[in-house]
Amino acid sequence: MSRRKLQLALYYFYDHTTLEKHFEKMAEKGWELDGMGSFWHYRETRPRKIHYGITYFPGVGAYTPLSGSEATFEEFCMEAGWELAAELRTMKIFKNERENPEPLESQADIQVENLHRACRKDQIFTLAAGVVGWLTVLWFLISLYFNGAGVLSDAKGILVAVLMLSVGIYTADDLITYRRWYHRAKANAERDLSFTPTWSHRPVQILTGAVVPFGAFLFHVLSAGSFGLYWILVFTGCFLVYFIQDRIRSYLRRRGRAAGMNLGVNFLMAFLIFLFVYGIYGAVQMKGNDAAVYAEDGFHWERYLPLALEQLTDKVYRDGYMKPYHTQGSLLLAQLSAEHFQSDEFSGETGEEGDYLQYVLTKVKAAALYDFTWNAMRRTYKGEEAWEKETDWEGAGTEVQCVCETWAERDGKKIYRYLIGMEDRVLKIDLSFQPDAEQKKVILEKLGDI
Amino acid sequence: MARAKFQTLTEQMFYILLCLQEECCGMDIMMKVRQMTRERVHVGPGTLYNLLEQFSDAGMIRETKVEGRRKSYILTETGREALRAEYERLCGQAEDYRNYVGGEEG
Repeated sequence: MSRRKLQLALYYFYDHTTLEKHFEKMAEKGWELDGMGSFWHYRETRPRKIHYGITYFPGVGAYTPLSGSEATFEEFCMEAGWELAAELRTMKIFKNERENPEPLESQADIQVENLHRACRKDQIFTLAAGVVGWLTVLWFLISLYFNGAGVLSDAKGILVAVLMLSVGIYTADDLITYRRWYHRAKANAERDLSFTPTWSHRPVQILTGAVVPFGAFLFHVLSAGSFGLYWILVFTGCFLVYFIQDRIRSYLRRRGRAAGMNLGVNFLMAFLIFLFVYGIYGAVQMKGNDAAVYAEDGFHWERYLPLALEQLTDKVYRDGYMKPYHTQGSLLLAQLSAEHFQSDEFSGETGEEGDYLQYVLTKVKAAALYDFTWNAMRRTYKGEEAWEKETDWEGAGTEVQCVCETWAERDGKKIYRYLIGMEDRVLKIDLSFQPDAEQKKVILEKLGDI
Repeated sequence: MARAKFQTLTEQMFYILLCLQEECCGMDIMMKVRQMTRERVHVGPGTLYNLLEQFSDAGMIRETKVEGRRKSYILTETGREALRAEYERLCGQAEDYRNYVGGEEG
């Protein structure tokens, strides 16, 4: 059985000139193209000269059944020695082993217009992907201004933003390059019937399609501290879906099955695979929740909440009190936010106003970001009045560098808000009562070195 | 300046229409054009398919029969006129050549 090889398909859909040359080079090295999708599929053969020709058949979708006219077209090609090697949507890649094959296309103006018609749908999709990409980047930048510490401590958010930036640049380059080629090619074809070869910017494709996404993913993995079961399962699921779907789709299409049925079968198959994958993940996660010590995103603590109201007052908080918390981390920052409060429903019934505690602790992993974090949290958590400097915060063994105070309003009640800069972290804490010296010590002790 | 569609015919268009004076299918056209021009003109399968569609849309040819994947076509009156107009244009060019170059040579 011959060996097989996959190659990440980084290309612009219209750029057939570059692709034809690439496949010819691969054939000379002994790798013959036999399928396409997100990857080019090759099988090993003896190195030889194979001519590749790419043409486009407008109106064909990835799932649409093979039409009579498409089959007729393929027969024309076969007559000229061109055998179908791979296809994806409107793109058809043919191979020809004759020494001097006649070209698939012999009239430039027809070729340019045909390509333009065939690529229109893909251009719309590319534009939509680009718009989504740039909007996500814009959202990221706006969030960075309003909640800089939160954004930079969210490795998943950073991963998505970098990926979307890559998508934005990739699609913009694709669209601009295509428009430039099309106008030039159309003019040349009308003037003297000459065909203008297509082109693309390889460095942009490699950078935005491989290097930057890989770097972003590496950043995410390093932030998490390990590759993680989640990603292993996600990648396994994606590959399974990709391989199985590719085969089912082509098989059903060539058998003339309706697009709706083809699409339905593929969706069902993808759904089942991911249901299975996430089922495994869920089962493993449930097993792993018995730990007595909490270790999340670089924070380590022992109780359910590192700091709860009980530790600050002598009261007992049970009925109606909730303690949600959340952690997130990246290589730059890590953030723990927690809240201890009485739910509105319960306080409504008793008519009593409960105590309130909420804090956001940002651990600065990259020291250069300390000032940024401090300023970002000042901006994010600004209160009803400007921050004012405080001086009487001291904790046993915790060096307090700077403290600011303001107040905020929650359900018509005054909340005391403090921003405390410690050696490697910045804490924002909201309390429904003004803490005394002892309570301040407890806060610094509990949150100063977790 | 852009050419109006089918106002003048390219070599490929001309020979395809010429073949279709009698009924034939796409694959026959490719072969006939090669024979007719002694391998000088080749019509690529992509170009042939698109041109047949465009000629058909413009009413210059019509489909006569479909046998499996094979579709046969024949020239219509509109197509015949376009072919004749192109022939006259080429004859005009040839005459101009004879008058200005051929005459001097002779």
